[in-house]
Amino acid sequence: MSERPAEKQNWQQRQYISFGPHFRIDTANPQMGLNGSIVYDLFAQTSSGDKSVVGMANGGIYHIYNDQTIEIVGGQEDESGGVNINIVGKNGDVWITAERNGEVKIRAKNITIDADDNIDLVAGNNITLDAKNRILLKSNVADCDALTGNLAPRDVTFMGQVFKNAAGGGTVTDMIPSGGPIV
Amino acid sequence: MIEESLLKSNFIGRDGFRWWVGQVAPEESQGGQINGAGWGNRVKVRIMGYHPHSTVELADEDLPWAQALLGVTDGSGKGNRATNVKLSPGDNVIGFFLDGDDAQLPMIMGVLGNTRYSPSDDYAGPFKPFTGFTSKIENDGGNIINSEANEMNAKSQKSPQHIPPTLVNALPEDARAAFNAVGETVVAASADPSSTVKKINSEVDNLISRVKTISDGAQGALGSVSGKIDSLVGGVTDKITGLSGGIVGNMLNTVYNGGLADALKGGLDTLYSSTFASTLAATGSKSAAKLAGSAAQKAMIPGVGAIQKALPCIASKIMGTISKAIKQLLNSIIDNVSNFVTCVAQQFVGGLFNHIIGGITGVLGPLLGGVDKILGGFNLGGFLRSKAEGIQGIINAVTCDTKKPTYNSKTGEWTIGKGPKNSLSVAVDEIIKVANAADKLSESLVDGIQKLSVATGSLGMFDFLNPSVSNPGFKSGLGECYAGPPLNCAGIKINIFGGGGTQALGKAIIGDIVGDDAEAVGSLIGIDLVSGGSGYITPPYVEITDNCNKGYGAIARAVVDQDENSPTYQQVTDIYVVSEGENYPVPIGDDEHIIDDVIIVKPGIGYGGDDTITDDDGNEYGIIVDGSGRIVSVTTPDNTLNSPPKVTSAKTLRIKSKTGSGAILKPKLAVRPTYQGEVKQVIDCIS
Repeated sequence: MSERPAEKQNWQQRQYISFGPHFRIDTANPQMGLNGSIVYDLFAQTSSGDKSVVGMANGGIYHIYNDQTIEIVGGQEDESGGVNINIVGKNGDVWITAERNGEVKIRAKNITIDADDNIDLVAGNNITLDAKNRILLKSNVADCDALTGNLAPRDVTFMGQVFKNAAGGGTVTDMIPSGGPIV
Repeated sequence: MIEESLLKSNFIGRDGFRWWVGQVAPEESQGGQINGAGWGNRVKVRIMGYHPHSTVELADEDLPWAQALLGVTDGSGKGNRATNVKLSPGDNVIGFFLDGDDAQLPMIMGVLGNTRYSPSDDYAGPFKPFTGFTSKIENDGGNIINSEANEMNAKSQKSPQHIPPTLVNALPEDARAAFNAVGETVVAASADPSSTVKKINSEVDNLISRVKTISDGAQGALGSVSGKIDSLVGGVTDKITGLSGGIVGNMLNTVYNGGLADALKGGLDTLYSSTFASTLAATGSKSAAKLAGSAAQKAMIPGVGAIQKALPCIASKIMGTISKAIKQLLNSIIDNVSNFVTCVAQQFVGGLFNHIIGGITGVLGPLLGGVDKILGGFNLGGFLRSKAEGIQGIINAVTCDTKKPTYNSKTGEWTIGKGPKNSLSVAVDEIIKVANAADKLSESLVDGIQKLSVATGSLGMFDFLNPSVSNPGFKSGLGECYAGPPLNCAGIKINIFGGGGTQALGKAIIGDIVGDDAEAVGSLIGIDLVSGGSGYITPPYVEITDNCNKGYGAIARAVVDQDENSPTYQQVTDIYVVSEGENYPVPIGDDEHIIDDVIIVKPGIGYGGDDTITDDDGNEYGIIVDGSGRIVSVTTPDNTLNSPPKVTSAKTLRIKSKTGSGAILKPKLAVRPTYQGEVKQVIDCIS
């Protein structure tokens, strides 16, 4: 491991204030990171060793890191009930990812998911829609593609696929339920 | 003497100015002043020439309090404008006495900076250097190094770096990681069918990095190393178990919707025909034959129904056992694999694939006995082992006019602290191939042909189960899947992706080289654009990597021609280096490069034709500006007429202008053109 030549590291430009072992402001530090050297960092650590870093790298990334929880709360005294937290991506994606076994939870009085084009809901296991009053599916085209279950049309179920247009004709296919497993 | 004393007022400004140099006394002598019960900005100071070098003659506790003088920008506290003093025990301070020769009211004007050569020892006696750390100000050096200097150099107060902990461990002793997740990969939410495999691979890759970090001791020693690793493996096992649910569902869908339904349907038709024919032959009655055929088909309804009914249960049964298999696979990878190469990733997913096939055949197989008559030789295991859709998933276009969703993201993966990561496509065919081959090898193992002390169960005999997989030259029946440290690190890879286009290619130019031969490393000083590709709607990402993940910090950006009338429309026309990075392994026998052109990243405003542009070597460049003073073109020295020195270092272009501002120019490097050389002598061969 070797750092770049000393003459290529601009230590003259660096300015810092170290407030002790728990907090530091560092600017123009030529120490290289994955996204380039440091434009500025506010670096903090607890007496337990948990770290927090807020800053910007020369590659352009502004980062907020914290070993424990990051809490963002807005609008406590906003009596107008307007926008309290606003996250905007001006040109690209907005990602929210819960790693390991974390969950993404969204709770509000009303929730609107508004896509200009498509919405994909994907789950490795189950998707549950549980409304205490009504579920309305509204579209020009609404299809159900399931092998079993009480929403699956007879032609689409596994049995429906097997017995559809069976040579025996209607007497056989009439016995196949229009959904749901045969008990 | 008496007269002299009588004439003194002992008041600052009236009797001259009494300077002094002293040392802030140790923590124990400062009493409540530093424990929250103090008054003013004062510390006990031992002053040279006034106070003895012996604590017996004058104890530290008996030293006078010295007031600290603040700068005018600090704020005194009035109007809530305040900065507290940062004096530490052991600080060497300079001041004066408010009371002149009485020397009882010292004021501290300033503090001498500390160098790294000043000892940080415990307090041993007056005027000997000692540490500023106290019983209340401690630093174990784990995250921020212990530094008691404030020099303007590379050694003083080094900050933690934004590089992965695994890289920090290879740096000098005073290197620290700013954040341990830097370098890990995040896979975005996606409905792309191949994303499940990418997410699984990312989990395993990150796990290996974390385990290495813990094993190397970079995260401190809270709890045992093995306990931490077990906890990590448990978490990743749960995560991959959840992700595997998608693969299980896809594979079941493939069986039911694909092969099995078609096989049974064909079998039903055959059953009807044969029953019809035999009944007709026996009775001569078509209606009787038809009834008999239908009856034979109806008799199959319970058997087919049982298969349908079992569907929801099969998935839950497989998911109930898959965790154990995943944990076994992960532990083997941690034990044996030091580099999570593509073939190991494929084998890992292949192991899951085999386990799921085992689960499906185990539950569904017996049920197929009930419809044996109409199966028509359908082989469940063989069918599953031949279908890529099971792993990758399929999106069924449910009607002919249903538009398949499009995924416009420029990237689906992100390296924390670095940026977008090129997401490689999943080689499903390779996964199935290796899974089947490993399954065959496993059968051989059961037959006792091969004896290895690893439990394979139904997963298959994979290379990463073999402790030798990280030894150079490793080979097996599955091929050459060496999973040790890369044997050849040299060179930087430029991955250009996203932006809607394809086929742009660049070649890295390395300079600022340190070290020799195989140990030589350098920085990215330019990118030679080999091909601009086509179809780029927005600038693509430029990812810079190397085989051994040694290099870090190189960042580059692409420029796309968005002029519809241009011959290079929607092509990448330039790639410029934003940050040169360091520690990239140097390729052998690289070309020589010169500054070939100048990329105008931002044209600025207010420049004039008389402004000058020079590079680090003093070469001058021509400048052309438009009516608003924006730089529209920069001309380089003619490299075919001159022979400029090869560029071996990152270059900066400087604009000298009295009126212009905001322009950003970057040198564009290219392979040195053929140079004819200046004419030395003309030889007349005719006369």
